[in-house]
Amino acid sequence: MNNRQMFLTIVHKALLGKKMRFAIAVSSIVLVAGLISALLSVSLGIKARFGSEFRRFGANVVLYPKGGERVMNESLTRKLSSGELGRYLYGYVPFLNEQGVVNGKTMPVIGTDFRLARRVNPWWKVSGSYPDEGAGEVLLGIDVAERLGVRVGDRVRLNPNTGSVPASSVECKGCHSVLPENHNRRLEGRLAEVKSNCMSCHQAHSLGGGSSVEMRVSGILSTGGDEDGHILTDLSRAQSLFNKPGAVSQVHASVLTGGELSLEDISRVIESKLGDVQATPVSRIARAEDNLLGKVQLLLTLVTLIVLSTTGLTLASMMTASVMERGREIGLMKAIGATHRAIAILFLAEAASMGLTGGGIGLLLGFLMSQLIGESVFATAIPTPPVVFPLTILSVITLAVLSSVPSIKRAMSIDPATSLRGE
Amino acid sequence: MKAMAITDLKKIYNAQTAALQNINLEVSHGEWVSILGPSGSGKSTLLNIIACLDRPTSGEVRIYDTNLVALNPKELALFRRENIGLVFQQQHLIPYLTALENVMLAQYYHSMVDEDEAVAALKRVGLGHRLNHIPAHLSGGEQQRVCIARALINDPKILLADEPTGNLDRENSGNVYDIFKQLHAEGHHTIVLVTHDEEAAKLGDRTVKIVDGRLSFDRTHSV
Ligand SMILES: Nc1ncnc2c1ncn2[C@@H]1O[C@H](COP(=O)(O)OP(=O)(O)OP(=O)(O)O)[C@@H](O)[C@H]1O
Ligand SMILES: [Mg+2]
Repeated sequence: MNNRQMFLTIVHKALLGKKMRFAIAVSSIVLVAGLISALLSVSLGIKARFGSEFRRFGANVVLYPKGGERVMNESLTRKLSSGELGRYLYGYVPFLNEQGVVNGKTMPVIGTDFRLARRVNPWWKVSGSYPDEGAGEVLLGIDVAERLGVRVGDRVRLNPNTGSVPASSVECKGCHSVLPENHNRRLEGRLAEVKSNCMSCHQAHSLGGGSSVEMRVSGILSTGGDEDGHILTDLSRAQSLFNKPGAVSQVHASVLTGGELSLEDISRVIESKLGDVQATPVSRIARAEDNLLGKVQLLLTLVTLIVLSTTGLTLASMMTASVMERGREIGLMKAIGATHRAIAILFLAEAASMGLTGGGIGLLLGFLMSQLIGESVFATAIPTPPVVFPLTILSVITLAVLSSVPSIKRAMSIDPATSLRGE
Repeated sequence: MKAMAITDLKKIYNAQTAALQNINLEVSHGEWVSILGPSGSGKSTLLNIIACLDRPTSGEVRIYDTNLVALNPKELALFRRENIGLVFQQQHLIPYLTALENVMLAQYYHSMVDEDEAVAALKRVGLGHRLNHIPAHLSGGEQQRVCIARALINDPKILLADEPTGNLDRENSGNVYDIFKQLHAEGHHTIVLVTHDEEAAKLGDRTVKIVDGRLSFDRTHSV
C-alpha cells in the first residue's frame, strides 16, 4: 500500500462507515444532478436540434421563386454550390411541393434530393432507409404512415391528380361530373384502380386520376416538423409524376453565419447571384416552440435553483453534524500528525466522492427525464449533447465541495487536546 | 543528554483555575519519569504541554533543545509529529480502520506508509494475529496495544502516556506495562507516564508528584 492507496482507503471507509448518511447525501445529490442534466439536455439539446444554437444544422434561408411564380428552375440551384456562394453555404436542398392522393387521401407530396436533405437536416430520423435514387420508392412522414396504416416495405398508390375536386369526392374523367361522396367512399383506398361505371355518363374506367403509380415505402420519416405529414420521393420522380420537369418550388439553404456577413447580407448576395429568386431568412424554431422551450427552461431553472440551494444547505448541515460527531477522530488525526491541510483534503475528498457518486446516478436519471420531456413536450427525442456529462458532474462536485466548506472550517478549529480529553 | 527542561511553567485556564504553577522539571534521555497526583491536580495539563497539544501561560519548555514556547501552531504540530508518541487513557482509534491501518495512519500523516514496518510494530505488542480487526472487534487491552504500536511507529524520542491503563483490568494493564518495561530497557525512548497506580509508577526511574498544580515531590527510585 502506498500513500495514495492509504488516502483512498480512508476516504472510502469513512464514507461507507456511515452508510445511511452517505446514502441520504448521495440521493439528494442525485436529484440535483438529474435536474441539472435534464435542464442542460433540454436547453442545449433542443437548441442543437432546431439549429438556433448551431446554425449550420437546419436551413436558415428559404429561396422562393420571384414574383409569385409557383416554381423556379432547378438549374438556379447549381449556382449555390459554386464560387463565392459555396463558401457561405453549408448545404442546400431543393423541394418540389405538390398535392397528391395517396391511398385515397390527399396530402402534400414532396420531391427532394435526399442526399442533400440529410446534410441540411441531420436530425431527420428514418426507420427503414432513404429511397434509392430512381427506384420508385417513397418516404412516408410518420403521421402519414400512421394515418394510412402503412409500414416499411409496404406499397402505396400515389396519384398525382387531385383534380379540382375536394379530396373526398371524385371527378369523372369522361363527363367531368363530380361524383357524390358516398360513391367515393365506397371506392376509397383503391380509387385509382377503380374501373366501375360513372354514375352520370355510365362510361367504364372513367374514375380517378389516370397516371397513378405504385411505390414502395422504403422508410418512415420523423422530423418533429411538417415533414411528418408529407410523403417524400425523389425530386426527378416527382417532377415527372407532376409533369413539371426541372421545376422546384423552394430551396432550403443552410447558411454559415458568424462571419463578417449577417444572414440578411448573405440572403441579398444569393438573390443577386441567382437572379430570379427571393431569399428569406427564417428561424428554424417556430415562435411557439421557442416560447415553450423558454417556459420549460425557466421552470427547470427555477426548480434546479431551489433544489440546488436546499440541497446545498442540507449537505452543509449534514457534513457539519458529521464533523461534530467525528470530533475525536479529527482530534486524533491532528494529534498523530495530520496538518490542517490534510484534514481539509480528507473532507473535500469525501464531499467530492459524494458528488461524483450522486452525479453519476443523477446523470442517468436526468437522461431519462430529458427524454420524457422531449417526448411529451416537444414530441421528439432530445439528443443529449456530450458536454452535459462533464458539466453535470462538475457542477454537483462543486456543490458538494462548496457545501463542505463550513464543516471543514469547523474541523480545522477542533482542538485535539480538548477532543481527546477523557470523559 | 537532556530530553526535557521545564522552567517556571505556569498554566492558567481562567482566572479561577491555575492548573499548573512554578513547575521545574528536568528529564534526561532514556529516563522513565512517572507522574502521580490526585485527580484535577494538573497531570494531563502538563503532559499536553509537553506533547505540543497545549501552550503554557508562562515559563519555558525545552525538548531536546527546542523551545516549544517559540514555535507557532504549525511548527508545534510538526515537532509533535517528529518527536512525540502519545498514548491516552481512552483507546483512541479510528473506528472504521483496521488495527494495521490505524498504525499506518500515523505513518501516512508522518511521511510514507510502510506496511511491513506497521506489521512489525503490531507483532511487537503481541498483535500479529489481529492485524485486520477493526477496533470494535478488539478487547480494550488489545486496542491500547494498537495505540502503543501507533505511538511508536515513527520512532519518537519521547513517549507520553496519560493513564494508559486507566480503562484496563489487571491482566491487560500488566501487558501494557510489560511493553513499557521492554521499551525502557532498550533505552531509545524517554518515557513520561501519568498514572494513579503507585506500583506502576515505581517501574520507572523516578516519580514526580503533582498536587494542586505544584510539584510536591520528585523522587528517584533506588534500584
Ligand atoms: N480546557 C480547560 N479549561 C478549563 N479548565 C481546565 C481545562 N483543562 C483542564 N482544566 C482544569 O485544570 C485542572 C487540571 O486538569 P487536568 O486534566 O490536568 O487534571 P489531571 O491531573 O489530569 O486529572 P485526572 O487525574 O482526573 O485526569 C482541573 O481543575 C481542570 O478542571
Ligand atoms: Mg488527566
